[in-house]
Amino acid sequence: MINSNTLGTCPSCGGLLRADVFPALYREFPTIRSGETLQMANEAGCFYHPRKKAVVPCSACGRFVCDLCDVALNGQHLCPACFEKGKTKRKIKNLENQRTCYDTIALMVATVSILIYWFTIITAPFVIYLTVRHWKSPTSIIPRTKIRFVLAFIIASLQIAGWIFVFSNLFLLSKS
Amino acid sequence: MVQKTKEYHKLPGSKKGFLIGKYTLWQGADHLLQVYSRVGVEEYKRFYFNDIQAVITRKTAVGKIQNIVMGCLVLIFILPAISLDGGWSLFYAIVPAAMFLLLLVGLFKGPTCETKLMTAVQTEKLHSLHRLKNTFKVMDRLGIQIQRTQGTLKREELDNISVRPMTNQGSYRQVQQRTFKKISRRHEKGRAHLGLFLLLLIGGVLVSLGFFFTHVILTIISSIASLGMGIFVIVALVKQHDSSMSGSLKAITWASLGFICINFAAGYVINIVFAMQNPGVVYNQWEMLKSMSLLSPWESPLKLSFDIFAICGALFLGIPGLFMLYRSDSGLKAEATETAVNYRKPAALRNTEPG
Repeated sequence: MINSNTLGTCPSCGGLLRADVFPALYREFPTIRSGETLQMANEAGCFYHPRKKAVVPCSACGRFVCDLCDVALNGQHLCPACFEKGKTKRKIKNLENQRTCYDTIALMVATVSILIYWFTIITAPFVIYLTVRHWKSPTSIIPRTKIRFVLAFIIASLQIAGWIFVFSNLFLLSKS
Repeated sequence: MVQKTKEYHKLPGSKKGFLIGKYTLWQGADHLLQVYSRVGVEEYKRFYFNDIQAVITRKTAVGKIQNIVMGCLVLIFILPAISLDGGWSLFYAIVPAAMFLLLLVGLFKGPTCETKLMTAVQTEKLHSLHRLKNTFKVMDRLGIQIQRTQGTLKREELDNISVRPMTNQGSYRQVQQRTFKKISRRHEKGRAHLGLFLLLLIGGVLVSLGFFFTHVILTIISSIASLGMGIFVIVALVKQHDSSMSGSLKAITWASLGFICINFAAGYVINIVFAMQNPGVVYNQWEMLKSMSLLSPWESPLKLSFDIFAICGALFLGIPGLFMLYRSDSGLKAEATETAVNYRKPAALRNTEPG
């Protein structure tokens, strides 16, 4: 059952289980880092804790940071301020836990509005705006093409063309 | 020309959310990414290969139950298709054909499972891995990647797991947290559930009586029972939220909500069809109720299918619901005694910690 890559019967509940166990289960928890205190006058101190010994410069701003302030991420060492800035400004991809996909929204608005066709008079320009405004905005983290934006744009353009045709015909009819 | 490498690779399997949304799993260079996409917004959860302690896959009976229910529905709908003529026969042939297709898809996808990923600080369900076939494919692929990052377990470490599975550093803390969770979760007696399942059974019996005799009183009592079901199911759903009730009981309550909604919708359709067939009584509600009450299921194929569905649903949900409620009640009593005993002895647990 454990690491056998097949289903086996659980001795406790009798259910069929497959368990893949890895060495992390036996790993010791890392000890809490407190930062070493400065011993000599010529030693560099931490930017945030002047009495603590600096161990590494921040990869983004270059400030010296102690063991306590050092945030190791993706092979880089960041200070708390740069880490926070990276999170709020979405510069560190691995910290993002939510994204708005404007391409999906544009395509959805363009297609769903067809069901209530007169609604497209408002939604079609909105879809064109979304496509142009967010063409370069980051979409999903997972790989995808711009096909949704393209499709949404084509559908919205056709809807606008349809409305122009309808209004021009009405105008010609009223004139005649 | 420099070729752009893909940061994430899609892993087999996906799962649709309750009404909207979809769960998928992606493999990155050093982590696993679970994506939940819903109406233009994507939510991400990362599990680093270096932190994954275990992935547990448990085979479930959900797929088997789905296939059995689908098979029963195919059989129920195929009988009128054979016995009736004309347009109704075609309708009753299309419905089971569509259901049969769904049944084939379910059979092709294979048995279902539940997959959980464990790290030192969390146990997370991997929603997209709910079919054994896909889970095995993914785990064979991920296992290699995780072992490349962490190394392989030694033989003696593997043997240790089967001997003492709860002796890692977090054991005391985990036991304490679990005990706290058990204590902090609200105890629910399940009176609303009892009412709901009893009403389901009563409703099923009343519909069955309609096969033998018809009367307006029977229809009125059935309508009151249906209304009661609607009220009780909402109360039960509110009460069971964040309570200590078992997952299966919660699931059967949600299934009852689905059944009641379909039942209401189907009843509405029957009313409309009856009104179209009898335009003379549409403007007099009492006359319409009386005429509908006198309509025997043997005379109308639509009413026959509706009644069969109502009886099957009421019995399939009412009986297991009552049984689960009884089991959950007796189980909770035993658990409460056990928790009280364990909570008084934290020192004994502390002794089991290594070092």
